[in-house]
Amino acid sequence: MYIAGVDVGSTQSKGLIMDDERRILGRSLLDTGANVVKAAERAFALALEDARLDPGDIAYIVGTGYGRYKVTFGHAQISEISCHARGAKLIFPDTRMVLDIGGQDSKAIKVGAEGEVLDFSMNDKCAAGTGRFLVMAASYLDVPLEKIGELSLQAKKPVNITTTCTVFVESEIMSHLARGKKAEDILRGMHSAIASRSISLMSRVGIEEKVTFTGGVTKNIGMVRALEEGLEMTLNVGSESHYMGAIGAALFALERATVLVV
Amino acid sequence: METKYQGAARQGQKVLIKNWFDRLSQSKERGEKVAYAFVIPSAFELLRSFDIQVISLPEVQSLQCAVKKVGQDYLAKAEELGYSLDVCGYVKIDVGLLNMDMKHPLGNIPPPDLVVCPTGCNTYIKWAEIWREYFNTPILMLDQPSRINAGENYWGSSLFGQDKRYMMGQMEDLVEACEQLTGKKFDPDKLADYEDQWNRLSDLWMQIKDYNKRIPAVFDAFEDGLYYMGGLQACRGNAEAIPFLESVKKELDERIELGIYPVPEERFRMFIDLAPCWSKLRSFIGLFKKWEVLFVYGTYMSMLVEPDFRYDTSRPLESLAESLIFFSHPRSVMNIFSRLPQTIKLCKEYSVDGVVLHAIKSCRAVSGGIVDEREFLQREGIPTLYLDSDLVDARYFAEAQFRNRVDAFFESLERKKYYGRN
Repeated sequence: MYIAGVDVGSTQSKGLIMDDERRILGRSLLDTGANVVKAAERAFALALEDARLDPGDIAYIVGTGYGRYKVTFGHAQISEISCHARGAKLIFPDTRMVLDIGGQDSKAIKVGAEGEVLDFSMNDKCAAGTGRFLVMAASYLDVPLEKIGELSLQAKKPVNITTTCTVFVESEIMSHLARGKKAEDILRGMHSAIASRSISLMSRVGIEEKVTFTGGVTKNIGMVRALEEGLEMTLNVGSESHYMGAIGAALFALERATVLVV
Repeated sequence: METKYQGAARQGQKVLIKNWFDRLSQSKERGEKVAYAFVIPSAFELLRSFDIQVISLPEVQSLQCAVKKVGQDYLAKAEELGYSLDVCGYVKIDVGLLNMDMKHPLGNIPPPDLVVCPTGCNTYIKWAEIWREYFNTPILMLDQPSRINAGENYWGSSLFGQDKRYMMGQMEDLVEACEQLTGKKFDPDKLADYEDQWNRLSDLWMQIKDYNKRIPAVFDAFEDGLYYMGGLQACRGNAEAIPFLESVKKELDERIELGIYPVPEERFRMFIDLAPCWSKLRSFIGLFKKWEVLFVYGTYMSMLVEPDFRYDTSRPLESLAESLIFFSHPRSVMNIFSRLPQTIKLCKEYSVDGVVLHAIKSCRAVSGGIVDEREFLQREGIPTLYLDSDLVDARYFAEAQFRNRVDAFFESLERKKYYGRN
């Protein structure tokens, strides 16, 4: 039996195909863009292609992410909070807490022994301290987004960034540049600012070891290091971290498809 | 059985609100005096005993602007004048109204002849200052003693006696102000009559709230309860009041008889602490529909009536002074430490599955301790869902994020409640 998880995030959409042994057979990643329905369809189609399967082979599909109700071909929709918890538990069984930093929001999720959500906290409407903040920082400093993490690790004299506001940070960056500060030192300060805000979010539900880091920002090594430094622990993070929501959605799909079959 | 009462209470409420605003709009033509007072507490009965017919309650009027979708215009007007984002949304809507000729969506609000300002909420004082600037109207402050540390033995203690004397002095000042304003002599019997009416309304309101202790619950705290409260506010101190609440009771009795319940299958019973974003009320309610949630109780339903306070009509003015002490900070919604035991008690009485905590951006006075409240409730084994936006400002309401939190919360709760799994 094959099942699918489709995670339609505010910035990127992820599709994932799994078999009933919980092996990942195919996946996809693309920018969500303006047409959310299309992004969901495309994420599913590309994941199927990667798994060399047809839509008719899939027994159950669960949609997750902000656009989960736009996964019109899905059998069910489940919040990404539940999905990230479930996915993290499969990939890193020692997970007790998930920190998900996505394009527009961040979430701290306390996870139980079976991958269930015990508690969670999220940023409010403001996107301060999320992936968007890093995108803007990269743009203001004219550094490619995929390079900012590595560059931040080269900092010799990190600056203190006082805001995680995506709007106000521009003037702060400009004033540091005007004072001759280096891009890597500014970037290190920005990563530390997000780490500090994320740790505060995690503290609201109680920090538990071990923390699994999920979402698009996991690809940023500077962010991983800043968090590890702040938390004084190593994080669970790997190549699947960006897909954790889709993995969790597929696991829910498997659970529901199994009930239907039985 | 033929239904007689279904919808009657809601229809009745609309008439009451219309009457209230008609009275407001026509007050000056009729030569009636107008007092602005606040919801809690307002010395309402004393004002009514002087035939001050029309009493404007700004919090309710701001709420109505938000529900009627014009609140944002008034907020923008207040911000144009320099009021910051952090200022209480109710105040800012009122400031917007003041600067837009008091044109409320339900009718025009006349300027006040007298303002009665208690100190139950610290914002009231600044609010009254704004009115003084706009209307050049006398402000009568009611400084309520707030003995946070007094404990259970406070009532009847010498300290209480001292506070009561202090409050009585202020009652006498208020009586004098009303006498001067209206040219009428204070009539204690008339005050007692109004207090008696409020006592009866309080009893009826308590009985109405009790209907939702039943399983399944009989009314929706938003879809129905809010209307009942609105009616109660609109007709307080008028002859329509008691018949209105009696009609509510009849309707609820009929629902039980006919088996008409707000949610056909009541899957989750919830309590909402503090108020939702009124300008997004429909969207807010909609988020819970998917989960077949019934809000059986809300903090706002406790606002006007305390189960253990009734006026002693044999000594009306003294009893009014006592009410102002009773409804002061230590017992009010502003005080997280008094609210907590009350919330736990209500959760048990109403057999709720969890509590929705809605923090209010522009009211840190009530929201400041909400994270502690959350921890406390969770330690007591009561699941909580934390949401944050504002009372009225739709800019703080992020529907997609709210939906995420709501769905994640009920996904967990559903597994626990219906599948016996974590």
